Amino acid sequence: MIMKNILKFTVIIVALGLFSCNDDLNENNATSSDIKNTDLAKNYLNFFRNKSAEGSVLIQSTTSTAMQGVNKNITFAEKKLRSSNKNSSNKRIEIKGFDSNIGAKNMKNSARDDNDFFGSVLSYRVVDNSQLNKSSSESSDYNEVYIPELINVTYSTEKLVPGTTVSWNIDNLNSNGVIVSVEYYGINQLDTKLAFENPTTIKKSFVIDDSVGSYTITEADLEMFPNKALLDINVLRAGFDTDDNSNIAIAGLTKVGDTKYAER
Amino acid sequence: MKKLNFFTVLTTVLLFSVMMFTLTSKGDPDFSDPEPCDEVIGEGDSRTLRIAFNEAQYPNPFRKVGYDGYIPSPDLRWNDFPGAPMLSSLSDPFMVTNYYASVTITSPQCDEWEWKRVFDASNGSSNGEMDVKIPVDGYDVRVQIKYYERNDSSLSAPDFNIDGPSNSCGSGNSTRVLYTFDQVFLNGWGNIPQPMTMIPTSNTALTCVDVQGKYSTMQDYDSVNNFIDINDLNPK
Repeated sequence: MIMKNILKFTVIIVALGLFSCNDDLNENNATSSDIKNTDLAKNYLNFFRNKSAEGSVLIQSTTSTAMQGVNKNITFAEKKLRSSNKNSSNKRIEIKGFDSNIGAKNMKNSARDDNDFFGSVLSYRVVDNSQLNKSSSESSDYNEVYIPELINVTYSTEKLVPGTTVSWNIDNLNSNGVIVSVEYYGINQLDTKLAFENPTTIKKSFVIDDSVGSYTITEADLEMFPNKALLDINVLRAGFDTDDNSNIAIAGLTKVGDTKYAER
Repeated sequence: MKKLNFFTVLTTVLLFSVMMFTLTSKGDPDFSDPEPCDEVIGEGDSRTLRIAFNEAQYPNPFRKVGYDGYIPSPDLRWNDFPGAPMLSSLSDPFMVTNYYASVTITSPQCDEWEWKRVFDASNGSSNGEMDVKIPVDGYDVRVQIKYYERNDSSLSAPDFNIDGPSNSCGSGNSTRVLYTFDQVFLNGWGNIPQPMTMIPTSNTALTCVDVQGKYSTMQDYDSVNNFIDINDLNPK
């Protein structure tokens, strides 16, 4: 019996040790964050925390519940090195069916007025500009990545309270889940006393299966935030993929963000 | 017998731990912990962004009819700065200026690094341009801007907002509209001031808790930036 308990204890210690590696990513002095370590969350974390190579692209739609039916606010960014004295890669992503020059030529986010990227499978490949006139550049096979439908979000209440339900339009083809992210920033508070007493940024994220279609905020979810604070709540989903050989990544992200008072 | 098992297991675990320690501590410098990302980034790179509105593209759903694209002025677009943000007035710190704009910059690759600042005369210039810090080359950059509009009653075209939620300390003019910008830039942007076009997000009521002056228990800070500096809240 004692041996059984010791073995059990040993297993727990080892397991805690393994997971502490992940926790180290989230805990620090300047900010405090809590990400539920589901498999879905790990997928997102692994992708977005990876330092992808030059030539990677990010398509993003960032809007609010007030504007989601008016303007999708879609931008397109292509990763470039900042330092001009470094050797720039000639590799870039080519998306089948789109102009080969769809991205911004520089590093800034370039606005686009279409949403053809969302809710569709994009075929892409990595091409080398320096090899454009050589047949070898055409040998690269196309990869496929599904970019989820633009997300639409509704809240059951004006404020965030225990019981508030966050709902979204379901995309059954999105296997990455939906992130609900709640963030507190002292600098954005309207109550200065609350802000000065709580200067540390606090973040909490949940990743939920897209097909569930909603999430209900619990009291425990709001526990780590100062009561009656203004919180940013973002609901987002993304499709993403990385070319193994080049570490060039492609991602399509759709997000609806709002700022709401929270009360427990 | 049980005791024997206990000590056997304990000894095995200890031996295993010692072995692991020996193996991991033997390594050459390649095995040492990498420098934490916030230390790698340090103070960050200097850049300029431009806080922008697009009244035509983003008509404001919180404005009354006829004011759909209205942006009150003066504000940061016209080289107007918040005089002494937030705490300068004992009676009502939020009535002092027409807006309050904050910028927070982070990186998806480094939770530990965060730069934040309020737009004011020390970092802002005409046309809404603001000097900021971004993570160094190699890190993606998330830019979040919040632009709180003040109470509209003191402006040239008062009462242009739809009334806010019922929890306000009054009605009519006791509202403010929040504009935001929140996007990721892959590896930042170049040296050209980058326009960050904000979208209207919510009509937030002016709640009772806002309109208090300085608190007796609080150090007498001149501004939010003063608070950030004195408390060393930004990376060095």
